[in-house]
Formats: sequence, structure tokens, C-alpha cells
Amino acid sequence: MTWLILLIGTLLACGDKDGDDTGATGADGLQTQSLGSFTTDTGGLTGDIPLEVPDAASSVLVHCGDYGYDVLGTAWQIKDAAGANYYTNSFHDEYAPTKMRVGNLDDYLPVLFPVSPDHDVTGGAWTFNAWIASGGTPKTIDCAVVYRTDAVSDAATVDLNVVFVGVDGLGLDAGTAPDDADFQAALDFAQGLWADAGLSIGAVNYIDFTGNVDRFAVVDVSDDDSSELGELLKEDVGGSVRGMTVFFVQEIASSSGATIIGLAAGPPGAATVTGTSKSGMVVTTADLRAAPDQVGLILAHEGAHFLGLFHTSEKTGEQHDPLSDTPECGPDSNTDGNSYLDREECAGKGSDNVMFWAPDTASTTMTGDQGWVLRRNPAVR
Amino acid sequence: MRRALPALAHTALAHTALALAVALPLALAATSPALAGDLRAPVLAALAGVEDVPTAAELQAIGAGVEGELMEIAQDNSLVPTTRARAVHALGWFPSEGSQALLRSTLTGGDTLLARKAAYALANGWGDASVPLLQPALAASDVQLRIATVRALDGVGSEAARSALGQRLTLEANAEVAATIRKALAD
Ligand SMILES: [Zn+2]
Repeated sequence: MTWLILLIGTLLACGDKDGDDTGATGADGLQTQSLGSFTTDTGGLTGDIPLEVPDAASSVLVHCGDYGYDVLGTAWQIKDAAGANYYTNSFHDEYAPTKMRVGNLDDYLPVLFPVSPDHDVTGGAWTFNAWIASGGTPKTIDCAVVYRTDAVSDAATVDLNVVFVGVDGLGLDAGTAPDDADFQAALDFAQGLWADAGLSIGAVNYIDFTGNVDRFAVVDVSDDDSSELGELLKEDVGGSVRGMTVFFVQEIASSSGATIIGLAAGPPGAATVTGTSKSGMVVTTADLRAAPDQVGLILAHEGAHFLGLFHTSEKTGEQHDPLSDTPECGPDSNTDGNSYLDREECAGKGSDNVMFWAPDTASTTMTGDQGWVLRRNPAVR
Repeated sequence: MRRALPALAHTALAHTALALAVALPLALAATSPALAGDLRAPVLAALAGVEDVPTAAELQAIGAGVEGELMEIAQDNSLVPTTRARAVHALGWFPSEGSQALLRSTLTGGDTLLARKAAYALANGWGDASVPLLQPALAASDVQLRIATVRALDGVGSEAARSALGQRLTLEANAEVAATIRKALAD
């Protein structure tokens, strides 16, 4: 596989959330800028933060934090260069839905746009207002922005920093992975799924995790405390800053101890920004030997979340992605009357899509709109 | 990690943590179980999902026979480990002699992923009565099984569970396991 490049250890470690402020279009097609520090009012709002979106910008990633794992933050209002509401939070007096979704995120807030070809960006003076729900206590956060200004390719690539965290029980580490048939099959499967979206895997940097392996080999996340996940994603592992960092762990475990198969920061994640709790994604490797395609599916699914895609239909069918060409499976498809939509009920309505909420290895399709979003992400070339 | 913001006006944003998905021990009356396999499709559908994990209510809503199907899935080598792991974990929501026997054997069976799920399931399903069953796993050779057992006993939270953790702390040599015990005892 010629697209594999073995790079063990720290390569190109040249950026962090405070240190990559070029203020100009760099040779790599990214323009980064510190926006300053902002203290929220008692309602949790930062006020308008000005953005100078370059005419050449194909995507914009505003990121703010950190504000702690016990606090949630989200976007309150984004106004475009014409002064129109590009996005408003559903609690905003001027709320009107647009083809954009922003999560409610703990500790660190990446906000990526556009996430739909129906809602593109234009250059000019924009404003961004964040909402940090800290219960009336003002929070001071640092904000910065990444503009992607190079051309968007129809045949795009994304570098992967694959980080092995205590999975030597599978015989898997940075030294063995390049020749591990199952691991390579997982990468091939993921690449095959992304092919419909015009995205392929670029350089693969193989990295052994050198931090607290005992802590992070099984990542424990709770419904109200995802600090262990966030602290892992903050770890400086090196690799390509313009790429995606994927931590391959033994398992992710929920509040009650159930197995979670994959989790991406955000979504979307803090692409090209290292050292934050939203700077990567985690994949459970337990299925690698039995079903490498399954691990590849999870890599493709979580990677697409990180780059800006949401589930085509969420578990109950009450929420969908902001894309026009992805099938929707709504609550009316829930023919058995239980509390979730299964693949059978959503046959022909998106269960064959990689971004269905419960995909399997037969969920192999991606749409043109999904590819449009993926290829625009700042982490992609 | 995405979560729901409280449905409050933005001027009253006190963020209250979402309720934990606590696994309630539901002493379901033993009913005549369906033949293994009859419920395979709906139970597997409930166990699906990448980020979303199945809930007790979702599995219980499938009806009689789910416990038997979960036991079959838990032991089915043709299924991927994460599906089996979700089945083992879910057995904690269907406490019976049969499920406990399977969980006890899984706890010591040598598959560390399934053993961790068995530890949580025993704690979730049997509460304080699981403490003597779990205590030996605090001395397991696998660090991640020890951490999972600590967290499972932390979830039980009883005096007996805390006592077991306190005893282990005096012996525990691994820094991460010890830190997890200390955090549990501090809660
Ligand atoms: Zn997902």
C-alpha cells in the first residue's frame, strides 16, 4: 500500500492551541488567528466576537475554551458578512433553523461551518457568539479560528495519526501495525467507505502512546463526566497537525460499564488544533481480530463525525443531519413501537449509510453532500 | 462529548448533570423463556449502535425470553466481541440464578473484556450481594479488570463495597488502580 508511510514517534509537532497563530495564509493552506480572551456575562454569552472570513475560505473552525468538564458550551449566534443570522441557537429569540448543527460540548467548543452545501460561507466580516452554560458564573475563555483557504480537491486525502494505547495484548503497536493484516484490512475498509465521498487516507503515522497507558487503555466515560476521554484527546502525540488523531484503545466503557465502540470529539472535532479535549477520536479495538472490517467501519464513522458529519438519523428518528441528499428515517418508521429505529426499519431510509446511528459493515454508502463536507474540513487536503 | 443542554432560558443556565444511566436491578419474575434464537434479531438490534449503548428499558421492552437470548449471545463465538460484551453487561438487568452463574464464570474465564462486563453486570444486578463475588477480582492480574472491578464496586457504594476497596488499597501496587480506589472512596 503506497499510501502508507511509516513514521514512528513525533513528527511535525509544530502546533498547539496557543502556538499556531500565523495570522496569514500559510503554505499549507490554513490561516489561523487568535481571537482573544472573552469573559461571559451572567447569561453565559461572550458577546459578538468578530471574524474576518477570507474570500478564499472554504471552511471555518472557531474554537473556544477551556471551561471545564462540568460545563457545557455551544454556539449562540453566528452572523454572516451581510449581517444575516447564519446560525442561531434554539433558545435565541431570533431562532430560525438553518442547515447547521452545533453540539452541546463540555470543556472545549469547536464550531465548524459550513456543514452543508446548502449553507456555504462567503468572505467578509462575520460575528460569532458563544454560550457557555456555567450557571451564572462568568467564564473566561480563549478563542481562535482556523480558515481553510486552499483549494478543495475532488480527490481529497486526510492524514491519520494512529495511536496505540495499551493494545499490545492484540500484538498491536506502532512497530507491528504497518504489517498487521487485520489492522491494514481495517484501514482499507475505512478507505473504501470514504471513497464514495471522494476522500482517501493520506500518510499514516504510527505512534505508540507514551502517556499513562493504565489510565487510558480502557477509556471510562460517564454521562456527566467525560474528562477521561477529554484528557486522552489532549495528549500531545505528534504526527500530522493537519490530519486526524485516532486513539486505538482496548475499549471505551460507559457510566454503567457498557461497551462503547467509538467516540469522536464534538462532533465536529477541533481539526488541526492539538492539545484540547476535542482534538481527536477513540476507537475500541476489541473486534479487530474477529472482524477487522467492523473496526474499519468505526474508524470511518467516527472520522466522518470528527470532520463534520452527523448521523443521517438519530436513534429515535427525531433528529437528522443538515444535508439534503441523505435519506431520513423518522419516527413513523418505528413500526415495532419500541424506542429506537433499527436497521430493518430504516432499510431504504439511510440504514445503508456509514453515518446511520447504528451502522453495520453493510452500511457502505456515503452521499455527495457528505463528501462535500468531508473534503472541506481544515484537516483534509 | 455531546450532551443535552437543560431546557432553560439562557439566563438560568444552571447546568445540572444529566441523570446517570443507572442500571436498576430489576427482579424480573422468571417466565418461560423463549427458545434461544427466537429473539436474536430484536436483541441484536437493541445491542447495536456505535456511541449509543443499549438501556435496560429497551431490552426489557422486547419481552419474555430476552435473558435467555442474551445468555446465548454472550457465549456465541461467531459474534464479534463487542456484541458479546454488550450482552454480558446487559445480563445485569436480568438477575437470575442462571445469569449469575454465567457472569461468575465469565468473570474468571480469562477473556478480560467479557470479565470486565461481568464485573459491572454483577454489581448492577445484585448490588451489595455482588461484593463477595467481586472481591477476588480486585486481585486479578489484569490491571484493567481490577480498575473495572473498582468502578463496579464504586457503583454499588455500600459499606461492604467500600470496605472491600479499602482493604485492596493497602495491597494495590499499581498507581492507576490505587488512584481509582482513592477516587471511589472519596466520593
Ligand atoms: Zn455516530
